[in-house]
Amino acid sequence: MTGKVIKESLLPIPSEQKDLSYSKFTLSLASDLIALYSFMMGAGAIAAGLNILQAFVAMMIGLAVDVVLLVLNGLPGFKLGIPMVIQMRPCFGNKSAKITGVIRALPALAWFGFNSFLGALGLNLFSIVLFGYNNVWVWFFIFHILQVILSALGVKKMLDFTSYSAVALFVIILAMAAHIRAVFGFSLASGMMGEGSWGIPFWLTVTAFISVGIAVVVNSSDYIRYLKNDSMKKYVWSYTLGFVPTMVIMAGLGMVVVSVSGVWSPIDLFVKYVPNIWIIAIAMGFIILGQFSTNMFANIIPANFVWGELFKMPWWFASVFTGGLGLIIIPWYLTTAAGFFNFMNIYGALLGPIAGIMIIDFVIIRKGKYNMQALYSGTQYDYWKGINPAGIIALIIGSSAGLFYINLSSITGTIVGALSYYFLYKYWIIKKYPQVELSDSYVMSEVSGSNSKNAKEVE
Amino acid sequence: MKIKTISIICILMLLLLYLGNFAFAISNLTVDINDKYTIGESVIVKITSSEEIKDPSNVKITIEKPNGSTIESIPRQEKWNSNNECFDIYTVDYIGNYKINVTNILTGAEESTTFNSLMFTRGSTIVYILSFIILIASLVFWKAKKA
Repeated sequence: MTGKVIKESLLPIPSEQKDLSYSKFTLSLASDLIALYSFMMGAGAIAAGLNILQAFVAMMIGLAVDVVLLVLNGLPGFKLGIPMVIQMRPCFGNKSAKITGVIRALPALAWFGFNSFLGALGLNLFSIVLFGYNNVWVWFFIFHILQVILSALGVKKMLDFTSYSAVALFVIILAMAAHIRAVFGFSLASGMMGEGSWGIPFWLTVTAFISVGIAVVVNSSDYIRYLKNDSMKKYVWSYTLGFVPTMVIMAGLGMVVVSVSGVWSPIDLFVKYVPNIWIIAIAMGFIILGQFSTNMFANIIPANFVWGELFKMPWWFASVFTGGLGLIIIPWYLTTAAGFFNFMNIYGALLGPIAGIMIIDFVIIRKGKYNMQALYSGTQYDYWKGINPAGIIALIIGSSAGLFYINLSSITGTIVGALSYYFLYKYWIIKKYPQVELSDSYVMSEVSGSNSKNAKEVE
Repeated sequence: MKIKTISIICILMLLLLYLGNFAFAISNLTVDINDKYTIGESVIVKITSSEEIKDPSNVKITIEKPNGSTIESIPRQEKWNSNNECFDIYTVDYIGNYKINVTNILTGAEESTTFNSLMFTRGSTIVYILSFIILIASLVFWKAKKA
């Protein structure tokens, strides 16, 4: 990999060069969710005091919101083939888009390290059970480095890996579900009979399910830009089928198991109830593939693009950089309940408004059009010294609202940020900085590789 | 006659002493853990008894967390355990001092120990330093290649 790779990656992908199939994309998205954290999301809902019915309804509301946001924010990538870091320029300004890109990359780093540590923890527990060997740090280092090496091969290879691993993961998860059913039985009726709550714990769970998807929402264009864009219907179905059934299965298993066994950690569950080496092998396969593919899809890709845009790094080094920072943030702290939920709430408060602003900007204000030349080389999106004041002020207002109601951070942050941006942009910025694409007669032109600023830098 | 009585008493005393020692041996449990763990790390609570542990479910482990809450668990035996050993795994989820109490329900024998959980211990520090070294080395390599 050379420096050219990352620069070329930021250019729009023309329709004729988009070759990612809908099925492969759906599987890649599904593989992001087949991981330990999805199980913990469901288990956490029951631990928060909900019965299974309430937890299920909260999950479905959260997932429905996630899918709508994913579809809307992925439109620039789907239609125009641009990545997130470019999509952010009209919303936040050419310079401050780099800062918001970093805000997206930070939770990706934390998730990367956290998923690696969670995977290492699982591998270590199985090595304890099988051989009596206990050293989570060795597993952690090996597991993390392997992911860095694989990610250095590039986005296409990573998407290939995640889509293939999704098939294996589905088989494994079905085997695990059968085993869990054999051990506990699914006494759904008794789980639903509990009193639970439709109050604060219910809305906390809805928020948690929105927060878990919000990071992928912000950079949904990064993946969807490779997808064939010949059918809007297939595009919506890809997101729906990739996201909803997988989370329902994973989190649903977590809900059922915690309600009948009281064990909320999937790793503890496997260790306590694994009867033979084959089940251990299946569970190990699940942990390795699940954590691997989640990190590839949701954490390494967005962070690498941000470093490429910010520091002009080649892809291979962006992978090493992401890997190094993923360790430096002390991810083992997030394995504590307090650390995990504080982290989710804080990044929900920051990313919710960013997602809301990006959607309002493209869908409502610009009605699906960008000045493609200006995205890469013009000064139209410089606004005031490279900063779009509406975007930054709306982000501050939205994040403050999210942090003020920290338990509902992603909901309040997204709504307040989006509305603030709409009014600030419509009644202040447009008058001061006219936008050519807002004219009804404006026709979008494609940016070819040879006439963009980035292409010149590459050459 | 006197000698005979004294001999019987002596034998009985020796027998009592032997049985007493045997009873003491039954009640002997040891709990093997480290002094320090990084938060999030796995603690193997390894229990060794002076006699065979036929059924680990007769051994009860109680862990007192730094926040005051307690959890109870039952250990397990694997192939790598000898027949007088059993173990349980606990994942450290709070920073502070933990106390582990182990009880053999059959004999009433008890043993307790403590450990401390921290943000960094030796293993986590080594991983941390290694990641810094790799990051800086690749940065130097990239800059050199660029130049």
